[in-house]
Amino acid sequence: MLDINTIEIIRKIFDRWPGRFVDVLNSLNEKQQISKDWLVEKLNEYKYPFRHKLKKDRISIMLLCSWYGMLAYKLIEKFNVKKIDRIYCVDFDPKSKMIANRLFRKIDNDNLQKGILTQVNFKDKDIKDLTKEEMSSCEIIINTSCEHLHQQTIYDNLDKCPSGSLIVLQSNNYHKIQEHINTVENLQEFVSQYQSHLINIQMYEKDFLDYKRFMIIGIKR
Amino acid sequence: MVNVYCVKWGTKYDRSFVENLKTSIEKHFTIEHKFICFTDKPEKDYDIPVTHPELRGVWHKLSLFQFTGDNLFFDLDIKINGDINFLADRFDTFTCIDSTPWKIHKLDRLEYRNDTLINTSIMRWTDNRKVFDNFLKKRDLYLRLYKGIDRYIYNEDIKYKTFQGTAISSWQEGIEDNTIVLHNQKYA
Repeated sequence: MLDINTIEIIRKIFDRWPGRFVDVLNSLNEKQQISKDWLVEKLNEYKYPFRHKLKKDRISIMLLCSWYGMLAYKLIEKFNVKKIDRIYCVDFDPKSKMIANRLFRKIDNDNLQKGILTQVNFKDKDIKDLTKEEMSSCEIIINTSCEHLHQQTIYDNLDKCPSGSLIVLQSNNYHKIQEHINTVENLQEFVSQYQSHLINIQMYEKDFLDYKRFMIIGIKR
Repeated sequence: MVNVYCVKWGTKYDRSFVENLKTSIEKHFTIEHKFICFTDKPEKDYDIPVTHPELRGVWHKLSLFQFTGDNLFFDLDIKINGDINFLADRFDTFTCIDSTPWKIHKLDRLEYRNDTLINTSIMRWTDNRKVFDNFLKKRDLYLRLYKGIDRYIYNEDIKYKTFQGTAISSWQEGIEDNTIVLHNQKYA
């Protein structure tokens, strides 16, 4: 049964942003949850030098094209390699931050009470406009929306990441969606796009029956 | 000189729809004009290739806004039964069709479905470049939120006017003998 808090959130989203209601539900659907859980699971397994070498006690993570920020809360809940200081959610949708605040307010409050101090900061910004300084402030850069972006935009963005950054990318072969302008056919094609940018690439594939989701984790050259 | 555009993308409509529209325009639009088909597969001398191949279907209609001049656009599935010279007037204002007559029963669901009360089966404009430029800036967001350009234009507060008079109607109203009859969504 849905709890009262969830029902209240749904009601408020519907009242305040009716045109976003379906989009918000889509952002939280089962496949989104599975994809994000899968990402955190594989990220926890990835052998990244910061496990041993990084002196910083806490790290920062940047989520590109973060939508309403569900992945940030998955990371807070399940990422177990390092403590997270900040998660930056970058999205050019000016309503993302407001809707995310409404969606995750209770989780933010609960986390604070549990002593989880990770801050989730939304940046209302096109990822094309991120500076090298902004990209350098995070140890991990995650982009789960490669299929939505021109390839050159992804490359330009990667070029701004400092060498040694941990990079996580997802794409898919779900060609029929109108906003998917840069799908790939298979995992090999996806990996081949980034071999000149990343080292120690680990590759993964998840079958959703009507399409496959691909993921690579690697270190920026 | 009026530029008369149509868009043929993909396989939903075959070439005969373009030829039929061209013939109808020649018969019923006697003002000097140039017929142009914006297409992903150019093959005729009046074809020009789409400029943003990453877009699908109806979104190429929106990319026509990069072109300035006295412009008219027609969907391939409209039927023209009489003189349409009345359309060549007031190009300075972006004009499309009021779809309220056949959408009235959907009003209660309009908002949360990002639905629309306009239809772009026919459009008229001179300079709408800003609309397309703004779309490109946040293309991904708009493609995610809206199923087509009618919804995009209506819900993103883009300025428009609608054609006045009774010469345009939709098959969804049960009217088939008007000057222009839209067959919107008939071939979906």
